[in-house]
Amino acid sequence: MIEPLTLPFMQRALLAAVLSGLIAPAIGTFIVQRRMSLLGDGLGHVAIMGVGLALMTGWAPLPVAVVTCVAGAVVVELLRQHGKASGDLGLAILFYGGLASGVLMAGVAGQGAGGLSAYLFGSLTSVSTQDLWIIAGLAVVILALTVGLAPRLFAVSVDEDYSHVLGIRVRLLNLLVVVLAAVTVTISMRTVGLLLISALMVIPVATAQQSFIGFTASFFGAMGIGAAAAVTGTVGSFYLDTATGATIVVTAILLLGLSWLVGRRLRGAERFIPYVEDHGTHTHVPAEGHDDAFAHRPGIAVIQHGDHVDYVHDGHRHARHGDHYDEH
Amino acid sequence: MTAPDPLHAEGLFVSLGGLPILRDVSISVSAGEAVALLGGNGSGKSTLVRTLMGLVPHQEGSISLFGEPLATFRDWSRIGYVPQHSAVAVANATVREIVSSGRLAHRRPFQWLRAVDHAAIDHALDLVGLAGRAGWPFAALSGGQKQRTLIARALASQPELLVMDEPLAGVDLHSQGGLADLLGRLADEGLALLVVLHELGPMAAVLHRAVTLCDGRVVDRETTGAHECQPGPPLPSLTGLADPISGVRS
Repeated sequence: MIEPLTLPFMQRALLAAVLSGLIAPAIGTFIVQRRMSLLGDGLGHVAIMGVGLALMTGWAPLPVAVVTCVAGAVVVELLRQHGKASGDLGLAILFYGGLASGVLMAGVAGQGAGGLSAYLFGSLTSVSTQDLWIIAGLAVVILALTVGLAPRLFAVSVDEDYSHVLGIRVRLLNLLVVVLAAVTVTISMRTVGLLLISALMVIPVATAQQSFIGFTASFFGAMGIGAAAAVTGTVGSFYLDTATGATIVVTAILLLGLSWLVGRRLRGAERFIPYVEDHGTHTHVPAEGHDDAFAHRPGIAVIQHGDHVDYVHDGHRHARHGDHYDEH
Repeated sequence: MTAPDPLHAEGLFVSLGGLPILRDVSISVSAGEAVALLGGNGSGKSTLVRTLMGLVPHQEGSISLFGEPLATFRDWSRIGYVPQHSAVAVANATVREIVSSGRLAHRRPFQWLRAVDHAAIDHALDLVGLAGRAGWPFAALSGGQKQRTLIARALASQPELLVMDEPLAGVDLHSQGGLADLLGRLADEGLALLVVLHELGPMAAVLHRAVTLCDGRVVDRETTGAHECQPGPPLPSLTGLADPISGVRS
């Protein structure tokens, strides 16, 4: 673990990856809430056009890709907001047109699809000092906007009509989310890669929604999970000599699986309840008396059952009914 | 001079997709008044409420909120809007987080919840009887509890006018009584209410008067009765509809 940290290129890659790990789930939370999980993937295609343009003209790839991708994002959101029937087709043309023209321009520049692969799947050695400054600057802006505007973005994602009546500028915020997603996709191209960054916008969010109750907890939880996957994946790619983005995304998927298993195990204790027929309308069978201390004894499971609480012990389910307990 | 009505609309005409939905509708709600908006399915109730809230554009007529024309009205914290709870899509949020949104009309962007916001949220949760459920996931609530959460969200902004779209839809009879009691108490405290209802039900005791819509027009309930509302003239024949391609009537 110590050795890679002493290498300057590794330090830059780790810092860039952690920033992507934080901002991708932050903006991804609102993308997932709006059921646009695949938006990041499409924007990644548009950014490839920017990379191709940069390779052809000899300009710096990162700024060109940021500008191209943001322009594409604005077109995407305008198509969506105007609800054109042809909007879906428009998106497809935009996304695949971006990919095709990017590969074409890279070819003209003398680089085949292979030359693009560092941008598509991430590469440890490709983060320059200048890139890192741009990435850090934009990441701070994205973090400030997503965290600072989180209550408003949350309200809009839950209920657009209600947010309008609150006087919130819903269209502007929706446009902001898509533009920030475009910037996130592009500044992550060096580490996670344009084809895989969308996964980092969605998978940590799914993991957090599984592990935490409530918007705030899962919002910050997703950022933590994203950063953890980014660090683990970056270090892992150093030792395994694999593409950084692929290693980060596989780590994120492993974390999702882990949270699912842990969640299942925790809920399993509640699920294993001996089945006792509902007592229906026949006379109640009063159970032996329980007091409050009873619920805290070892071996007693307390479970919510509709509008009341059942106590499970020794194969029985008891519920309070007035001054006595019934078998449930 | 008395204060202007919280809600006043005159001569509203609204068409959606070329079809007339509202025709010459006028409605007003005074301070402290509880008004029901009745009518069958497709009578235009929900469209009227959404038009009054500025969510649907109107082609003719005027709407003013607290004496201010809708187009220039900015004081949205005076209005509490409760959409149908089925319209709310929440992946993972607690009851308290949903209710907190109601404070946004009072908060500038980037401003965190202040003590006054927390107090208003607690009070709203208390009013609807959900204080004990504040930390619950919204998705785990029953239909009646979801509806009460959305009412609490509207109340958290401490409105003077509460507009509700079918608050009793999908709520069992027992919970309907509880909701009606709550709204009655709010009306007694001087809140102006406009409530879209399919039928009066337990709300009858709470309301001061009712406006009935039939086929996009206000009808006199005394003479027609809500359930005798006949659908207006039959739909125009296909030849009378606008050509879907040119948009020109044949």
